[in-house]
Amino acid sequence: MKPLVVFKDVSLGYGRRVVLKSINFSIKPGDFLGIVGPNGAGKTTLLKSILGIAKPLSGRIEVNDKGRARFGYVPQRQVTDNIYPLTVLEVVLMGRYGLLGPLRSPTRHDVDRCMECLGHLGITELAGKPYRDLSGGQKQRTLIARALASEPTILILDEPTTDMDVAGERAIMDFIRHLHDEHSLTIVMVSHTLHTVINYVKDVAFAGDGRVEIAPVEQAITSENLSRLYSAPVSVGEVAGVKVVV
Amino acid sequence: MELISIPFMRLALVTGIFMAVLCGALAIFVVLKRIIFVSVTLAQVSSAGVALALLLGWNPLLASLAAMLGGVAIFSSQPLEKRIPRETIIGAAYAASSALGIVLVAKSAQGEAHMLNLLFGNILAVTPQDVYLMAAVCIIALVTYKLFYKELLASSYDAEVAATLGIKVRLWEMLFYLMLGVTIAVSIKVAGVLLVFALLVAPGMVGLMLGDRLRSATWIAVVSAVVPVIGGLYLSYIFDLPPAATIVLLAVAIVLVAAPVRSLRTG
Repeated sequence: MKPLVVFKDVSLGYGRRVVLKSINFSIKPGDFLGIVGPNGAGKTTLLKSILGIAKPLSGRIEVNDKGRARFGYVPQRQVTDNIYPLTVLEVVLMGRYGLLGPLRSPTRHDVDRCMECLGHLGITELAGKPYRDLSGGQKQRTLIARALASEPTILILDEPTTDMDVAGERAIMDFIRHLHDEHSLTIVMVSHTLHTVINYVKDVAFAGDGRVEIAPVEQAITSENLSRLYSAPVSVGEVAGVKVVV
Repeated sequence: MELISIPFMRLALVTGIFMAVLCGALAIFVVLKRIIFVSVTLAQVSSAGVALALLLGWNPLLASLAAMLGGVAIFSSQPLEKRIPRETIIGAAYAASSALGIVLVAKSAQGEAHMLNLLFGNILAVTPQDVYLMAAVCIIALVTYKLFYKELLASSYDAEVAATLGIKVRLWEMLFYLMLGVTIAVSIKVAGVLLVFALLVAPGMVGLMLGDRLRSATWIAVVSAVVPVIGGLYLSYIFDLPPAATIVLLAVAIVLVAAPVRSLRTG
């Protein structure tokens, strides 16, 4: 199957500072990839380079954009600006803007598609509510709905469960897994909470020491690997069928 | 009625209303994008252009537009932003353009009178050509605003997500700054820096305080820009007050009324 995104010997960083180098990997349809690593290791930079927001310092990032690779991006919800008086539906409708192109306003069809996306997230009743008045979990669902409204082939999420309680985190992650399993959506997500990632994703990209290493989650998530990556003693175990990281 | 029977008052009123509608509509984005000081600095840069034109005998409007374009190019691209906070660049541009304006006006033949005109304008001295120009700019800018509203909104609200949706954020940012800059450059010639600045700030505050949706906030901003223009011109005529300053005080008075109204509504 032809990859959606291919990294060829890519270096990433800011200005002249290289954060990650010699990155070679591809994202294929159906992948469920978690990007993990210590703070400052370049996780978000890697994510933004997939999206094309961060340009590589060297190397090439090839995106199969002939109708196949279309990104739905869910940023950290803390970056949204709460002074904008927008309803939940208006925020989700923004996801349709790229499909509409210039000079065309959203139609009834676009509104219906957005309501469907809100329905998938279980928040249809919030459509007319001000976005800024929502709880953290509701905002996260709204941003996921906006990404889905753009009819993506790859859903890219940056720390989707930050500051959420256990139930909220589980609900969001179960929904993301549902999107992957039932709707064959390719998923790439960054998370600093390891237990979130390892219980859901298929493959893990470790960002650390200036490099990115990708491996299936079973091979990658070992006490040795994590201890080396985080330069601290880390143990991986299992409680009631759920992997835990201590 | 007496007011509109006087030709110069009629011209001032029509020009003022066009300017207020445009500034009111843009004010919402000026406040939302937190670029209030960009607008005052663009006004100051434009006025420095006018001062240069007065000294050299050029067309003041063209000089003002040229200076504004330079400002727009700098503020919309922010080449140094990674090293220096944006506010610092804006502050430096404000100080430099203000000082340059003072120096240029001091060396021009009519000196002080022109300086006062630049700062406070003379809306009672507008010509029919000023009215046509203001009307044309208002209509073109509002049509552009309406046609590309969704691109302007998406680029302003969440630039990174907009970029991933294929929206050319830099292009739309540039377009917004261009609309703002042209509005400022044309408006300060008739109304002065102070009034234009006030109309780009106060109505936006009122709109966002009283409007629950972006659309209603924009309409409220437009109304709260037009009302002080009409009221200020009337009061200045009746009580022989300086029109620009009277309009500014009325615009601020509306903000002061809107704040408790907002508090009452939200409990």
